[in-house]
Amino acid sequence: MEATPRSPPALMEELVEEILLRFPPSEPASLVRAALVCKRWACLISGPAFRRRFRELHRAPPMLGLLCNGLGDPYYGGADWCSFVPTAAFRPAPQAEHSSWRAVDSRHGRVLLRHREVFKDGGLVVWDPITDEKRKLPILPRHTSTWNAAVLCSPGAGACDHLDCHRGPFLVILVSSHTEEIFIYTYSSSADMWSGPISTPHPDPDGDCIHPLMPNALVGNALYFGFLTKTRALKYDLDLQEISVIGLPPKNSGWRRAVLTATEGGGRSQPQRAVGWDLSPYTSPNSACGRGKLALKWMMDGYETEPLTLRCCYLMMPS
Amino acid sequence: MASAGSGDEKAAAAAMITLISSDNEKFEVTEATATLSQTIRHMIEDGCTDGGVPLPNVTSKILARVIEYCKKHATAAAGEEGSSSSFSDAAFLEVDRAFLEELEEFDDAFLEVDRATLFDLILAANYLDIKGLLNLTCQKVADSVKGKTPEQIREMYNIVNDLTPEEEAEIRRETQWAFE
Repeated sequence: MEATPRSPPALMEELVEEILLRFPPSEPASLVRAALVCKRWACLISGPAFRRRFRELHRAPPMLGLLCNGLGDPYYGGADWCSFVPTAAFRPAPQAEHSSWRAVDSRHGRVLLRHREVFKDGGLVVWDPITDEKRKLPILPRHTSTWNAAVLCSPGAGACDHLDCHRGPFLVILVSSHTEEIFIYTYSSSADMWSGPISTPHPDPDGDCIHPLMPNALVGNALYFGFLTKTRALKYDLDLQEISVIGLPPKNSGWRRAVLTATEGGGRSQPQRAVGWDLSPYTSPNSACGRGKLALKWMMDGYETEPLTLRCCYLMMPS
Repeated sequence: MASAGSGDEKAAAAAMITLISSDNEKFEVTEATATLSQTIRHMIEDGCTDGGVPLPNVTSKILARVIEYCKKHATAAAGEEGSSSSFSDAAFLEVDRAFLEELEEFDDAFLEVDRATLFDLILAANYLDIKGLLNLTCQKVADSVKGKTPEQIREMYNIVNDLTPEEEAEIRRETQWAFE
């Protein structure tokens, strides 16, 4: 009755999905290749429901690579550059080497890039390394040389589980330091325009300003931006849309590079995130890509938990 | 053997379930083994297992394999429950580790089947709602296509390519990095 070898019986769609869900998340290429098997597999893999379930099952998305910034020296005609250094099989499109661009921030699968002439139209761009899509932001609302910015998914960190927000709407928060005040502007991709500003009096207009290169930190639903003196941080509560300035421990003068970072601490099942004061020695852009992360942490307790969410993360910023 | 296990056997004998395959073969199993299947668990809870449980979607060949899996995993689950109260932590961990290793070896050997049987097991695990078996068998298929080209996957699992050359070219263009 039984012929050998028998052809495998057809599986219902939900069972094909069960199989595809168990592809190794560390090898995204295998899932992409599977999309070429047939229409049904292609539709399943590219659907948002599958993406959500895949991330639910495997939780922390794998790190795909690092972003390395290089600061060109204008005296020698050198331009800034930003390059993607892969740590997995994934490679962005070949043209993704960004000459004259620098990464400002990276979060929730997106990268905020600035052109060296950032105050011209299209000087600020949000890039999706996975799809190589770019969104040009409208011209910046205010000119200043001391500014910093963050990119994040639109519902905000607290309201989103980041399982399928990758292709959805996003926000860019711009912090700009002026003589008397510090302004915050918000760009929403849904409205495609800047809104604001919200402002607060400058805590030390003569001696300090927002650090233009220090990566910001997102903790719960608040963003933290460092100041140039590295003795204070600006906190922006995304829910309440309120700005406050908090003090940080004195800097260690032996270190040349400082990063304000959200770090993990606490239980394994539910990682507590807190603001850390991260000081690490300056290294050249090339060797910086492979070095370890935290050298010194100063923890602040009492912040909300935040799931690990970055797909292409960890911004290198030589200062 | 009869004297050593008489207590357990009496308890088990009181709760035997008869499973009937699609080709009408009958299998006597303990309730502990049968209830690894959520489908059968619900039938027991609803009191509709008198006269046997007909499983029209599962052949005797596959049902025998499924029962083999459930027996092993039901024993492991019972062993873990029993040992947790009677061993010190260190001894418990040792026993626990040995159990897991044995179970892993069993699972590996259990999956040494041809592709058609593997798919039959997936269908049965889904129909009987046995989470562990579904996970095990689906993972096996996912692992088996690792590093394979789309052509090889189609051949392995008898899948017809219905993508048009244009659709195929579009996917390849969008995801060039995956084919380098």
